[in-house]
Amino acid sequence: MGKPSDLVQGTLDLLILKTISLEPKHGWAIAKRIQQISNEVLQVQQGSLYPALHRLEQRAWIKAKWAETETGRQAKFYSLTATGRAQLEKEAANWSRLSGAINLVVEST
Amino acid sequence: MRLQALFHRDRFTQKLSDEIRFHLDEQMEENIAAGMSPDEARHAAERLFGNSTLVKEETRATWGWTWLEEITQDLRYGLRLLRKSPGFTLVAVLTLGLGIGANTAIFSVVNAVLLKSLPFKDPEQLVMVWNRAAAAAGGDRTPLAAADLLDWRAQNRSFADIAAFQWGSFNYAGGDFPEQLQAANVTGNFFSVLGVQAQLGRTFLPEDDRPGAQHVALLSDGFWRRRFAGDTQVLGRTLNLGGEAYTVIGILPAGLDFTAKEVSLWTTLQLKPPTRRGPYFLTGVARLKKDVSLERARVEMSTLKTSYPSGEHILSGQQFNFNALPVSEFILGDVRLALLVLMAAATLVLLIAAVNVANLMLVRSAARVKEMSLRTALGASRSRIIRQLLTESTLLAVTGGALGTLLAVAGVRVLLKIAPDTNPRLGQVGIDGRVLGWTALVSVVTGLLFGLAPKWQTTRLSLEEALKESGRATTESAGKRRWHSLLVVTELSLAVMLLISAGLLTKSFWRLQRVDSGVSTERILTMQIPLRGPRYEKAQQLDSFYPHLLERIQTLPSVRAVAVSNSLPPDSNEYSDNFSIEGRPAVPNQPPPIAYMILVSADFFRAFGIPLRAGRFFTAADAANSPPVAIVSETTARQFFPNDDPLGKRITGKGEIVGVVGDVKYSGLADSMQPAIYEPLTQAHTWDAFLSVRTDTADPMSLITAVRDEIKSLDPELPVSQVGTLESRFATAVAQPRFRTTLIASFAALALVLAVVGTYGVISYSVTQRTHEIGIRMALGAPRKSVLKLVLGEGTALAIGGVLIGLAGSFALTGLLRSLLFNVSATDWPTFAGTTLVLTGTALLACYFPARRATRVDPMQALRHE
Repeated sequence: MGKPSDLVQGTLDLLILKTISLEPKHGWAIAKRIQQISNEVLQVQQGSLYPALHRLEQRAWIKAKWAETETGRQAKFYSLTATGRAQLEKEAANWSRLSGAINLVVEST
Repeated sequence: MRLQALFHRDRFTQKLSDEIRFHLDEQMEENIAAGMSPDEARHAAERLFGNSTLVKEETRATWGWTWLEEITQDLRYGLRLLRKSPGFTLVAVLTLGLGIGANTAIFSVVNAVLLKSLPFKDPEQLVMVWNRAAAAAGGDRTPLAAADLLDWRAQNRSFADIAAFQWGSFNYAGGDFPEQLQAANVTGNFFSVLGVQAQLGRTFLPEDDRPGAQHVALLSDGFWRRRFAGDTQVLGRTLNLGGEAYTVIGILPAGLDFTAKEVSLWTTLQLKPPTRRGPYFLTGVARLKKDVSLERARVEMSTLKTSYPSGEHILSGQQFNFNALPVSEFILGDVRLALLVLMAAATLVLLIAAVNVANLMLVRSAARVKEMSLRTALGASRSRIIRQLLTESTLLAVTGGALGTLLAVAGVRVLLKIAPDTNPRLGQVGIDGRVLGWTALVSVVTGLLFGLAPKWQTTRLSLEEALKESGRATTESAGKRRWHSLLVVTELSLAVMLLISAGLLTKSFWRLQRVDSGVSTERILTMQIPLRGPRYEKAQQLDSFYPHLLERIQTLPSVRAVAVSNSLPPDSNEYSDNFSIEGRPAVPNQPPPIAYMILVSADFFRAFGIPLRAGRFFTAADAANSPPVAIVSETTARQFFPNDDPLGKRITGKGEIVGVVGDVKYSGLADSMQPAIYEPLTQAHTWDAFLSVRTDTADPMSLITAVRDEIKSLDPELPVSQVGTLESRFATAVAQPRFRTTLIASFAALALVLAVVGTYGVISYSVTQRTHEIGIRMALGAPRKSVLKLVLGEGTALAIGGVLIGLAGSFALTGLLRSLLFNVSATDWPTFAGTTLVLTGTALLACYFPARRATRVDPMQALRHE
């Protein structure tokens, strides 16, 4: 089980923003989705998601709304705001640049 | 958003819980779908989620305001804890309340008397000026003569201006009853030197004091409100003062405390051009020029020479011997030092109180080790625990501070009631913003102080050690024991210092009260009868009044002797003068001899029990028209006739010396004996008379009505003031030292009690902690005596440590008390030894009870604790 600090600083934020960029999702779904898409490699301790979600909400990068799930229960759905979308693009670009550079270094020689 | 998070915190928290519960439910359903039992599914979901309490806390932290939330939490928790242990809380709050209360009360006096600036313009430039004469009555504060003032004004370069004043009194018959008013006669420039403006009308101008100028008067704020109800129409009115008309030209501002004496009336001193050097009756007030220091002024003053009328027995060109002091020193006198000493004492008491509470906290924190380790194990950060503990101690300190403020309000009221009237500026004392600020500061600092020790302890605990220790009763760790010992030694040493200071002051006071004043004080009734106004304008009128008065009162039942005089022991004297002995030329370059001139009726010496050393007393034969005579005191005889017999010699202008009498103190009990020359009332005149009646009854006050009636039958308008026994005059004279001695002694007593309670508490706790160890010792065959020795030994070591440090501190610090001590050395060994005995004794007594308890430990019981 990795703690958030095991992820590169800011990475969790990026993952969250990316995950909800297509449609609003609630916390559990976000956790689930990150796990699935990363082929079970990124095991976020589910609880650590919530401080990050609330921090992003305070920064107004994401907004939240209580709504009904398919099963008819009340859940808090998070979606991107305009600032959040801009931020996502910036962070994603940053990330590709960084990972690309690291790849170059790691795969050379 | 932020503010919402602050004000709707409960709803936010609730929503967060919902959100997390939803999360867990979803995960659980998935787990069940995967084939787990519901219980398994829930545990697995929780494991996957992590510590949900911590998650909630961290999430809430992102909302902001956590600090506020945590403080509220800490406060609530702290309050709950304090409520849960009322005994601890009560003792701690009471101890702190006493400490802070005493400190606040004294600070409020310090604030009013020392910190508020004097009501003058640039008070640091103001100095008081006297003559200084080694062989003169009045010593360092011998008054100035009018000629001194004029000479000095003409010659000096250090001062912008020099004023002078003289205390006086007026009989005022304008109201419903005749009243004697305390007055000050001042030179016309007096108020401009002080830099004081009238609140209504004007103050004096330089031309107001020319001889022949119209009589003008200023009223004090208090007198104006009391007798004229603050009526502004009083300006321009004339008052009949002692038979003369004075025009009111102004009202002075309130709080003009020039000295402790409450002055109601200010009039001008109309100085006639002097025809001779004396008499000496003025006190000078001068304003230094800008950039001139008092030192430089003093140097200049010592170079000035007399030029004004040299008179028959003063040489022109004689050196002055002036003495100058800052005005603050004149007004505050040794009250400043006394207050600082009291402030220090109150602070020591507060420190001891804080140490005691620190000890209590330490004991409590030991009991809470388990709680703290549990909180650490559950993830509380070290800083959070420190904050929690700090909150608790600050909570205690602030509650203590609140109680202290209440106690201080009551304390100040008591202080003002028992403080002697001679204390300057007491009218200003009260609890104001600055005092409350001080209390708050003191409370918080105290809280941090006594909170620090246990904190350091607790947070350094290693988890494992604590959890291990908490299981069973063990002996204290050496480190913790050191803390307790350090605190006990600290408070004992502080108590030693306070006790020694109190001891020194008490001894000094005791000596002061027993000082030989030269008179027997019992059964004497005294009062003042100032003879003013047209009825007593001429000396002959006095000559007919006094004999009648004496004769009438002498015939009253149980009157043994009656006398009239211009001075009274121990500290009432109005008149000193320079003199010369016939046949002896004045010595150039030396100040003239000055003595108190005491005018007395024939029976004065008999009435006061003053012994005759040689020659004779005055008799009825020493009448106005018989040869002039004088009597000198022993000191006068010793100083001025060291080698020959004073009897038969003549004092210029006073007559032949016919007797030598015992010395009497006229300038305060603490002062050294000053030379005095007595003159018969029949041959010299005074308008400021004291009437003294020695009675046969134990209660001289019972004669008041009879005496008053006799005075009334002679002059119904004559006001009688200062009626009381001679003993009460003596008591008033030592009221100031009595006051400070009482206060210091109470502080010392409080310190002793607190220190003893603290020592008892620590030893008692140590015995409880060591029950197990003691049990083992006894099971192994240690006799009860050796257990007693073990515990007492611990206490003795602490007491000796505390006493030694306290003694060292006292040696270093009691020197500061020196000027408050009368005939007692600041390192008086009996006081030091006595204090050592008292403190060691009580500390050992405090250890004895827990020690006895230790010997009763049942080994079986103690070991079963295991």
